Amino acid sequence: MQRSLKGILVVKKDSQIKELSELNGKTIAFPSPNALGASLLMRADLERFYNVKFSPLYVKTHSSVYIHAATGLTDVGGGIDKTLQEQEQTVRDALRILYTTRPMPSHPISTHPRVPREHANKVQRAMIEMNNTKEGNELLSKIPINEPIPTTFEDYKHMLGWGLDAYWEKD
Amino acid sequence: MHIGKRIDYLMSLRIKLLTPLFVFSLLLVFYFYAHQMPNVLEQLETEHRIYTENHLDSIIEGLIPLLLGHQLDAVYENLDSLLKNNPNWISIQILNADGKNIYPIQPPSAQQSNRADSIRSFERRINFIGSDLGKLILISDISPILIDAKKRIDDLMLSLLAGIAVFTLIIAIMLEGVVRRPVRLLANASKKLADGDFEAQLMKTGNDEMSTLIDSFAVMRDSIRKYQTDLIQKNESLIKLSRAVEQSPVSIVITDTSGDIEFVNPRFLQTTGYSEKEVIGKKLGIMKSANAGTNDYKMLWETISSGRVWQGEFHNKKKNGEVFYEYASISPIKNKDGVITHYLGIKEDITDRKKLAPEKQYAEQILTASEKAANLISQLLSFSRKQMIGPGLINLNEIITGMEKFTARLLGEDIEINTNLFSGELPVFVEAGQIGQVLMNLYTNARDAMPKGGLLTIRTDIANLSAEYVNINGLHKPGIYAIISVTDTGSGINEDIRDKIFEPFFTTKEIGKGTGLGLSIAYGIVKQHNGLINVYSENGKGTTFKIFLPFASDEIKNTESEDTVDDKKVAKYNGAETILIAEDDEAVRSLAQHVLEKNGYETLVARDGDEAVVKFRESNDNIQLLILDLIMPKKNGKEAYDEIRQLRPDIKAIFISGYTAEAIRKKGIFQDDFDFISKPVLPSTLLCKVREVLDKTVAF
Repeated sequence: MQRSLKGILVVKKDSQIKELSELNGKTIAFPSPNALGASLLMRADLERFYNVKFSPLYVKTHSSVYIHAATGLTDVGGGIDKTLQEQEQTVRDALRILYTTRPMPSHPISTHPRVPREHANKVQRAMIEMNNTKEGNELLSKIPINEPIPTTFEDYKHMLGWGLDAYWEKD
Repeated sequence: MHIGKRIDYLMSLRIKLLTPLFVFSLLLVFYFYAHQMPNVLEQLETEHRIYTENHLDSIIEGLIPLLLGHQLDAVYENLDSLLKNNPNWISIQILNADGKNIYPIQPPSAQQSNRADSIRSFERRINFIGSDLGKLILISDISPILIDAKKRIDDLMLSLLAGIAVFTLIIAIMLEGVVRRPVRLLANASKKLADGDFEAQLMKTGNDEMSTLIDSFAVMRDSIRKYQTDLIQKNESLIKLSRAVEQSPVSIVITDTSGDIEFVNPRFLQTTGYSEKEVIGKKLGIMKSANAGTNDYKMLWETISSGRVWQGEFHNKKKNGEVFYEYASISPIKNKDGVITHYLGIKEDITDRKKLAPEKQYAEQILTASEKAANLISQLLSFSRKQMIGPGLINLNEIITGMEKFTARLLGEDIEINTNLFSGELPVFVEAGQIGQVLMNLYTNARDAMPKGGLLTIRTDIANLSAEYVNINGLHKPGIYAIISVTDTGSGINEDIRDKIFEPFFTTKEIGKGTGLGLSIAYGIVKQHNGLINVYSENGKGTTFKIFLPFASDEIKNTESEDTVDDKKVAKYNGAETILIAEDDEAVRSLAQHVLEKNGYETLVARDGDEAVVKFRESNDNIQLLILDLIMPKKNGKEAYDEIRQLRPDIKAIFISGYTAEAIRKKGIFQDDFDFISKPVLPSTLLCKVREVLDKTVAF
C-alpha cells in the first residue's frame, strides 16, 4: 500500500491567525526551499490557490520550523503531518494546524536511467531484506526510513501536473 | 548521686583534664560551623559561579551558529541535553535581542526561579561580532553543591570529633592507669599513714612524674616514721623526765620571765601546803616570810635575768604560816636563740639541816682544835723521843708523792709546786710518818716565807758522801745517801740566825702562828734516822733545806712495825644521866656536848665557873656528873667544883686540861685523886671516862 504525506501550516496555539488570508505580509518558516510537502507544495498552494504574499524563512529542519512557530519567532511554520507527529508533546501542544495540503506519496529512493535495472532491483531487494532483520530495521529507522516498500514511477506520475517545478530553487 | 560525691566527681582529676578537651571540641565545632563552613560555602559558590559562567559562555559559543542559522531544533536539543546532564539547573531560557523567548517553548515562571535561598540566576549576553543576538538565563540550584560541601564538612567535623573522642578516651584510660590509679593508691597509703600504718604498699608505674611523686611520698613516709620514732623516744624521755619531776624529792618550780608560776611539782605542793590552783599564776613571793631580805630577792633577779644561776637560801612561809628554810638553785631556761623564756627553781627544804648546822659547825671546830692540839702534843712527844718509832723500808719518792694532795692544800693556790724526783728508786729505812712530818714542817716554813706566793721546788736525788764529809757533818758512815731538797723563793733566812733555826722553841713568826718546834723536830727526826739536815739561804732570794738519809739498798732491816692503836677497840659507853659541862673553849664544849648527847646523855653547858655553879643550882637534882675545865674565866674548874660540892658533896666530877695530870698534881691543885682527861679530848676517851666515873661507887 502506498503511504502518503501531507504538507501543513502551523501557528502558535493562541495565535490570532485563523484564516490563510491573514498570512499576507507574515514570515513563514520552512525547512528549506525544496522540501517537497512542507515548502514546494505549500508555497505553490498559498500563492496559486490563496494568493498569499509572505516572507519565507528557511530554518533547515522541520523541528526548527515547529519551534519557530511554537515560540512565535515566526507567525507560521510549514511542515508535514508526519514530522509534526514526531515532535515532542510540548511542541505539538503549543501548535495549531492552520492548513493541510493534498496528500502525496512518501519520498522514493530513485535511480538514474544509466543505472542498469538489475542493479536497481538488487538494491531494492537488499533494502527490503535489510528491513526484515532487527539490526537492519534499527539502522534504517535512523535515516529515517521506516518500513521501506517497493514502488515505481507510476506511483508519482500524477504529481507532474502540480506545477511544482516553478518553485524549485537550484543550489 | 550524693551531692558531696557529685562535687568530688566534678572536681576529679579526670574531669579537670578532660574538660579542656570538651571545651576545645565545642570551640572546634563552633569554629567550623560559624566561620569555616560559611567561608567554604561562599568560596564554593564563587567557584561554582565562575565555573557556570564559563560553562554558559562555552554553551553560548556553540549556540551562536545555530541561532544564526535558525536551527532552533539543534538549540533545543543541546539545551535539553544540558538540562538533563545538569540536574541542579532548574531552567535555561534564551531570549532574542527583542526579548522574545527562543527557548524553551514555555518560559519558566518567576515562582520557579525564587523558590529557595539556594537558587541562583546566571544571565549571559549572546553577542556575535558586535551584534546582540539575545541572552541566556540560567536558573540553578546550588544546594546540591552546598549540601555536598556541608556533608563533607560534617564528615570532617564528625571525623575530628570522633578523633577527639577516641583521643579523650585514650587520655581517660591513660589517666586511669597512669594517674588516677597511682593517685588512689597514694591516697590510700596516705590514709593508712594517717592511721599510723607505715606498711602500705606503694606501686611505682615507671619513671614519670607520678613515680617521682611516689618516691617523694615514700621519702616523706620514711621521714615521718623516723620523726614519729624519734618523737616516741623523746616522748618516753619526756615521760621519764616528767615522772622524775613529779616524783622528785625536791621542789621544782617553773616560772615565766615575770616570775609568775607556771608549773610546780607535787613535792612543792607537799612542802608549801598550797594547792596547784593556789600557786599557778602567782609569784614565788607569796611564800616570802617576814625575815626574807629584799636585797636577797633583788640580787636573785639580777643574777638570773642576766642568764646566770643563783644559789642561796630562802626563808619562806608555808600556807599554814609555818616558816621553813629552803636551799634553792634558780637558773634561766633559754630557747635555741639564747633568749630567756622561763626560770627553773629547784628547792630543798633544809629546815632540819639548819637546826643541826650549829652542832656540826661546833664539831668541826672541835675537831680542828683537837687536831691542832694533838699535832702539837705529838710534835712535842716526838721531840722528847717518847713516842715509839716504827721504821720500815720505803722508797723516799713515795713519801713525797703520797703527800702531794696534802702538800697542795697546805701551800695554797698562790704557791706553785715543782716536783722533780729521782728517776730510780730511793730505798731508805725510815718511819714514813715522821719523814712526812719533817717535810710538812719544811713546807709550812716555806709557805710562811712566801706570803704573796712563789715557787716551791721539791727534788730528790742520790749522792755518794765521802768519809771526810761524813765526819764534818756528824754522819755515821760514808756511802750512798738519798737526798730531799725543799727550796722556796721566799724572803730567806738571815745569816745571824741561820745557826739557831734548828733549836727548840726558836721562831721568827708572830705569836700564835708558830710553836718554834717545827725545825727542831725535823732536825731530831732526821738525826734519829742517822741522817743530816742542813740549810742554804740567801737573804731575799729564798731558802733550800736538804735532808740526807742513808741509802738502804744493801742492808734491809725487816722489822715489823709496832702495832698501831686499834680505835675500834673503844668500848661503847652509853648512858642516860645528866651531865653539866663547863668549858670556856666553845669548840671543846660543843664537842663534849655533841658526843655525850649522841650517846644518850642529857647535858647542861656553862661557859665559865660562875655559870656552872648557877646551872647546877637550877638543876641540882638532875645532874649526876660535872665535867669541868680546870682553866676557865671567873671561876676555874676547881673553884666551881668546890662550890658545887657544898651544894651536893657527893657530886662526881671529871676535870679536863691541856696540862698533864702530873703537872696539875705538882701544882698542888688537888690533894686527893681526881678524874682527869687531858686535852685534846678524844670522844672515845671522854665516853670511857664518863662511864667509868658514873659507875664508880666511891664516895668522898
